[in-house]
Amino acid sequence: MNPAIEPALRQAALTTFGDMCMALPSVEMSAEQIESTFEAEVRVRFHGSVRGEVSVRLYGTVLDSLAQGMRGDNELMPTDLLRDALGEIGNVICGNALPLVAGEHGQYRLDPPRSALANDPPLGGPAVQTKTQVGLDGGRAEVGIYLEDLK
Amino acid sequence: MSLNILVVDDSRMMRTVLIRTLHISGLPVGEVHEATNGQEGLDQLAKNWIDLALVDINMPVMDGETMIDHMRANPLTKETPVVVISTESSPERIELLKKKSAGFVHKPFTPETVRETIERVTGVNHESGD
Repeated sequence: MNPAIEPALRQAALTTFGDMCMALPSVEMSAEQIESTFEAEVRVRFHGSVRGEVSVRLYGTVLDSLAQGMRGDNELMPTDLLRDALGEIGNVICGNALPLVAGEHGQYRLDPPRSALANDPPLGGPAVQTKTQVGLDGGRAEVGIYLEDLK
Repeated sequence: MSLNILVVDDSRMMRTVLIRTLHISGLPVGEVHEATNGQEGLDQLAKNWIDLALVDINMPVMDGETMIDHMRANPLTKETPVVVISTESSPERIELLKKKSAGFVHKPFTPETVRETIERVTGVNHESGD
């Protein structure tokens, strides 16, 4: 496994949650954050010089506040807008992690984000997974990448 | 002078984030029009006076690159400033977009980055709204 992948994922997650969702993601987590339960997941598949998918799995109750941070208000949002927000989070994390994983001259395309359930297998079949976690207000996010070319 | 801006992105949430960022940036924002793909974007350009288009790349129906190609081929829109807002990171693809006379902003973005890029592609230094 490439030791640079996990820091790349973590950096992409910290940047996306911080700059786009106006959250304060942390590397350190409390016991409560670690024990929080599954809330929602999105997957973004990529093809090109590297192939696989990125997963963003949320635990606790964090999606509402992430979406509110993106929109800059405290209004509760309908499910389709929350799903849209999570999809865009997945898209941006994937787009920011891949250059760090595949090299800056890597060529790839992203599929539209899709909802997933925890532990759904990747669409491309067996793959090597690397993951990282960051703490968020009300829970945590687990960000993973499945790389099929390494299987 | 206020800028009439077209925001083209298939994500409703990202369009909202972008419009909010435009207002925070201090740029003089006039009318804001929205489209969910490149074809809708071209339709909006045909119906409205647009000073600037902010365009995502990966969209259904018509992607952002194709939309920009259509704009550059149309005498009425060939000089309309365009900024691509995308997660695209490949230097080669970004260079290709710049050759189509488009500015580029990487997601996630800050109000400062959006403002600087818009000022560069429109060629105008706008007074801050503060």
